[in-house]
Amino acid sequence: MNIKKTAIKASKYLFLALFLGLLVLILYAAQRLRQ
Amino acid sequence: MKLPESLFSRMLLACLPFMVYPYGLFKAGVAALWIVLFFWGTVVFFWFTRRLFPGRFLKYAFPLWLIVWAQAVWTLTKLPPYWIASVFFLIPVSFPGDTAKPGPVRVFSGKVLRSQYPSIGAERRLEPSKLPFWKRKKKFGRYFFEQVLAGIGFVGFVILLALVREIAEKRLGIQAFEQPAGMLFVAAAVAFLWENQPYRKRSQHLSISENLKLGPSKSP
Repeated sequence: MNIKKTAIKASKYLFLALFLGLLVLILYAAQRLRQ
Repeated sequence: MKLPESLFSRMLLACLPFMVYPYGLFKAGVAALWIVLFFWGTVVFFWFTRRLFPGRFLKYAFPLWLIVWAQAVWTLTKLPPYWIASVFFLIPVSFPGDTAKPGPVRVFSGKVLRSQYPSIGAERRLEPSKLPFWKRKKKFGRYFFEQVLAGIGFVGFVILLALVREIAEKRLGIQAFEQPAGMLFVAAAVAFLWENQPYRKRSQHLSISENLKLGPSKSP
């Protein structure tokens, strides 16, 4: 049970990291497309 | 600051940034379309991913998402940097939270009495996780329908304002309509006069105050 909870929490933080990565990617792509 | 939840107030607020854009009919329409498409995309994205975020970070992820897109679109297109204000105003206040439920049956700030339709909201008051999957989808449909309505109303309102301005300024030559703020002033004057008509029936006032009493928020 405890492992499951930890896994869920870890995957949520992983998703947050992915989301932030996506945001950075959007900004980078916009800069590159502009040039 | 307390922002309104009803569809019509949100549409009206979202139209306010258009008052300072130097846009004609076509450009205003294109900008409104882009804003609405982005608004719907945001609603869909966060509806399906809000449970994947760690709880307390969701409320920070949402403004970050808005800011990044505002910046990216501003650099790529010729939209003004504050186009995101319209999207922000269109989105319901309680939006990205886990409690994002469809509001009470309410269109244009009018509200249907629950006693008239007891089945309304009986299912909606349940948490989404307690519903079977197909019911959850239905719930999304109901929630998204409200946002679609807000978006369509917003585009319609922007186009109507641009059209009125175009006709009044170019064809009729009304000076006040040369600037968007002048048109806003005229619209506010019309609304004020409409609200304060003489010889108005008393029952209408009563129904308005009754509607206010029904609302969930009561000022202290």
